[in-house]
Parts: sequence; structure tokens; C-alpha cells
Amino acid sequence: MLGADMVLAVSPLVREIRPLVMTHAAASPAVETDRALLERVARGDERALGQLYDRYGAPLYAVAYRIAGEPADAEEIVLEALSQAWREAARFQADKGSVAAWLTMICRSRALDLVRARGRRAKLADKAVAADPEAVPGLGTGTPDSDSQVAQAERAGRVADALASLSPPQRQAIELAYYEGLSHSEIAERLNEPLGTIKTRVRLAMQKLRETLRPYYFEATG
Amino acid sequence: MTPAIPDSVRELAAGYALGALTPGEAREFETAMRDSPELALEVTEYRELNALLALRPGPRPEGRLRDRLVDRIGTAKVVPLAAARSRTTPWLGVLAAAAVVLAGGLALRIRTLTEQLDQTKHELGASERQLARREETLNTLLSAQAELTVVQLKATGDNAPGIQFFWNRRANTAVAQAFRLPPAPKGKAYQLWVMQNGKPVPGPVFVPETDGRALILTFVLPAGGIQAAAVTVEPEGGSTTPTMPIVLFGQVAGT
Repeated sequence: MLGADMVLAVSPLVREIRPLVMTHAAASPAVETDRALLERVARGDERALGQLYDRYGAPLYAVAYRIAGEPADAEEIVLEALSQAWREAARFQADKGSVAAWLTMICRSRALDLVRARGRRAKLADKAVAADPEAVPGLGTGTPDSDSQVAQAERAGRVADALASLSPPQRQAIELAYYEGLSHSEIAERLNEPLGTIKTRVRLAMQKLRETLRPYYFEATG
Repeated sequence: MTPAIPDSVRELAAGYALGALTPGEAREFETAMRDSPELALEVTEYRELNALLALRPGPRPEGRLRDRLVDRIGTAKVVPLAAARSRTTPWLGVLAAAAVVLAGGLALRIRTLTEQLDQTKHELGASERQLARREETLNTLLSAQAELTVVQLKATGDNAPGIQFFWNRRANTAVAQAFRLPPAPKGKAYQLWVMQNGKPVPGPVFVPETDGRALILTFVLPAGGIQAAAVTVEPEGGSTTPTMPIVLFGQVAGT
């Protein structure tokens, strides 16, 4: 999944680091940016939505699967999320983040809607990986360009490194909050720890991940 | 001068982006975020982080999911009524442009005409797709046969906004038509909810056209039936539970 969108306004630090990711896009002028694809989607171009699916379908499915815990539910969540993107593409606000972030937000929202409406929780996050030992980081089911795959794999590697750098309790908190979609209070209940402790732990873990992974955002913020 | 934001609220940013807050905390944070570009930026950053965290290795979907997506969007577009009307006569503009070209005979105008023609072809294609979606909507209504339930979602007052909600009990799908809705506040959108056993189940997020109307095309309802439907104003991405007061409500007859 290459976030081919270009950098807008970035801090000097980020500007210094970002060429690592931008190189792929710069070397592949034929790669259409996410934003350009979304503009085509807004005009009713179904093929453009298919291309976005090729880039983001697999990661979105993995997120949905971890939260919902069932393949059929995960498929429905992805379909609902991308259908929503199809309906609302014209309202996408580029100044509020990347297309990847927007799609992820919609997908997680739909997944949380589902599990909370049903009053049940997803399975342990590790189940998702165990269910498919051949899982590949973030590769789409279509035929995205090879530069996209390279950049996507690079990002996935950085994410794995960043998660590994967290303390075990912090990593567990992120597993539950992000990958299982539990609320702070649900995490506290599951771990039998004070709510305040959990809130602080999640916050510090997210801050650390943010600092570590900021150079690899799909689109810089600032 | 922007009021100082308490640390207790500022510290909710990560939890808000994760969807880990209680509805009350989320409301408090959104209120603070409205007046704080700094907080809004922080949430934007965390959402970028969320997109990266999605890259963690996981199971892959079946290949047919892509085909199902294409099928699904054929019936799921919110059709802007005003825009659809404006596209019904796109060729008139081209003909007018053609007359200018013929009169002037300028190469520059010919190039402009060609570009307009391409644009018009594109718009014509979009109109045809919209027509197909409307046919799908009609099919949704007609296929219900005797099992079509119409729910009127209303607000109080004269000339108040409303929604006609058509529930196809056979397929457990619905379409809805909104009218006289005022524009949603900046950064907000309307969200449809259905009530099942006393609990709100989130539905599509939508915004009305400038004339206050919107068509919300076929969407799937939760299994087990519904007793009512409602509309609230929510953040653009939609909410998991209603965070704002109900603006429209309608009960299914006989429930």
C-alpha cells in the first residue's frame, strides 16, 4: 500500500526524513496518488474505487477482522466502509489527513459500530495472525504496482519495529485498544487494573508510536 | 483568545482517535477540539498513526470481495438530487459551444470544445450510472411486494424537516428520502439510526443537498427487525453511539 499522496506542509525534521518514503513515488510518476483516485471516485468512477481497494483492501480487512473476530463480519465491514467512502468521497477534506487515514477511520468506526451494537467483543488479536500464517503485511488482493508494495512493506516493517519497542504492558494496551477495539474501561476490566492506569498507558504508548512513526505517515501533518 | 484546555481533556486525544472514550468523554473532547486547532491537529496525527498500524500482518480477504464491492456500490450511492437534475441536459452546453466554434473557426475553441465533449461524455456516463442506481432503488421498493413498511421520521413544527424511510422486510433493506433538512454544521453530518430492542444501531451518514433533500439508497438493516428509526447530527465520520440530540424520529407502526 503506497500512500502516494505528496507532502503538504511538514516540519523541518519531517521534511528531512520523508524522502525515504517519497523516493518511491518520485520514481514512479505513473502511480496515481490516493487523492487523485478519490477525486475520480467522487466523480462516480468505479474503477478508481477498485484501485483504492487494491491498495487498502487487505489492511482494512485485517483491522476489521481483528475487531470483529469473524471473516464474514470483516468482509461486511470492509464493504460498508468502502461504500461509505464511495458515497462521501466528494466531502473528503485533504487538510484533515491522508486518504489512508480517512479510510482507516471509517473502517474502524464501522467495526466498532458492529461489535458494540451486538454487545460482544472480538477475539484476541493474535487469533487474526494465527488464522493465516501466510499473511502478508498489507498487500492488496488486486495488482498494485511494485513500488506500492515496496513502500508498503517498508512501512509495515517500521510499524513492527515500533510496536516491538514498546514495553510489554504498553504493547498489550495497544493490542487491546487498537487491534481489538476495546474502550479504556473495557481494557481496565479485562486486565483488572485501575482505569486511570490504563488511560495513561494507552496515551503514552500512542505518543511513543506517534513520535517513532511520524516520518512514515501516508501524508505529513502540520 | 482561545481558552486554555485542561490537561485532563488534552490527554484524551489518543483515546478519541482510537474510539476508546466513553460517549461523554468523546463529547467533551469534541467540544474542546472545535476551538482548538492544536487538538484537531493532534487527532489528525493519531489518525495517520492508525493508518500505519493497520499495516501489521493479518489475514487477507478473499478475492471475490473486490467483486462484491463493485456490486455493492452499484446500489449504495447517495444521489445528490439537484446535481442529478443539472446533469439531465449536458449536451445543450456542448451544442452552444459548438455554435461558437463554427462561427469563429478558431483552433483554440476547437480544443476547448473537445475538452468539454470529454467532460460531457464523462458526466453522461455518471448520469447513466445514477439512473441504474435509481432503478436498483425502485427494485428495492417493488421487490418488497406486500412486505414494505413506510416509517415517517418527523420533527415538530410547521414546515419541519422529515424523512420517508422505506423498509423492505423481505430483503431486510431500506432506502430513505430526506427533505427540508437544514445544512449540517461545519464538520458534522446527519446520521441515520435504527432502534432494535431499545438500542440504537448506527446507519448511513449523509448530508443533504442545498435544497435540503437527499436520497439514501439501499442499505442493509440488522437482522431481527427494528422498532423505530431516528436521525442525529454527528461528526463527519459517523458515530458508534448517538452523541447529539435526536432531530428526527419515527416509530414503526404496530411496535
